[in-house]
Amino acid sequence: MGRRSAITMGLAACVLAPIAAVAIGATPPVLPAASARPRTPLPAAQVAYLTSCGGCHGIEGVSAPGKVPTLRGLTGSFLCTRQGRDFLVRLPDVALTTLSDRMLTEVMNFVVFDIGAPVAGGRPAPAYTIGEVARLRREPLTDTGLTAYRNRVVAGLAARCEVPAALHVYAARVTIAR
Amino acid sequence: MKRLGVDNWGERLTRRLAGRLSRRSALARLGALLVAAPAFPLLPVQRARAADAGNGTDFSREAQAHDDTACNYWRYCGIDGNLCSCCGGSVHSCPPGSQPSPTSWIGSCINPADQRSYLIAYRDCCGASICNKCSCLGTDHAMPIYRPQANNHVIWCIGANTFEYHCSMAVLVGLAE
Repeated sequence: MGRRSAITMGLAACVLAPIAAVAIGATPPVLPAASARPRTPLPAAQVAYLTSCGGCHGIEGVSAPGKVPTLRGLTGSFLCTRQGRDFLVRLPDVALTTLSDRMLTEVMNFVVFDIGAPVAGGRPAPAYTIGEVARLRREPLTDTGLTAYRNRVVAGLAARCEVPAALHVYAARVTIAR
Repeated sequence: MKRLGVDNWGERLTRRLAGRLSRRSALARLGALLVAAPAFPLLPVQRARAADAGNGTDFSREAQAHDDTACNYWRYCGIDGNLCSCCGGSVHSCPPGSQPSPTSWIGSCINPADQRSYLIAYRDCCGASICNKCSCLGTDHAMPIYRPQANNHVIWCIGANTFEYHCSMAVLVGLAE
């Protein structure tokens, strides 16, 4: 018998957090070379990103375009408006993570500055502070339609900054073919 | 001049010690202390405590680094499924006829070769019927199903062409610490 029950199959955890849009035509994920043993430890924020987010969103911030939101090159755009900036932290899987306020702040800054491209147009955005993240994560977006809310956030971004076209496309629906 | 009580007490103590102890006695005791001190960390109790304080797990204490077709290969500390290494693939490549899922869950395992912690992506190969060889279950850093992001029982074919599970890889992502 297969060791995985059908009940668990539909539990696509990663699609719960629609952080960014889907990059159409993005390059497929590249699996890292497994033979070489890395010598330098990854930064703590990157380790926390990988273990808390990177499985679904991808080691490089790109995984399954059309099914899991792409982060690479897109997350920085959300810093263009206060609403967009707040939105990223208030996403349920971000706000309700088991990470501490301090580590979550480091992860957020890694995601928007290192994985995401700098915000286009407008002034350079300041980094998230611990106090800001601690406050925002107490108000998770758990009682709203996330996709509709995201569309309003992106419309606000587009009105003020030059956002990548890919930011307008979001497909939260997971198709499970058998 | 009136003397403070503590002065009297100090004088009495010093005179008593000087009367009882020779300089050699004091040196002998100091020497014994210097010689004995380094031995204490070698005691079994201390070693056991050090082992507990380290980042070892039950799995890592039994793990090996030479056979990736055995369940106790170090990278499999959080794997749940059939080893691709036994199914015509490898620890980081899918067997012919199956495709790697773009999504995975990422845990960490200790390599017995250097006792360091490495991030491991448990990535399923999908699109072929299940390979029933080398079924393994490691639970390090795996979370219950109500935290499915780090659950190893989920079929991690999210984003793949089909949800048909074939086998599981354990891809090295990086050095954690």
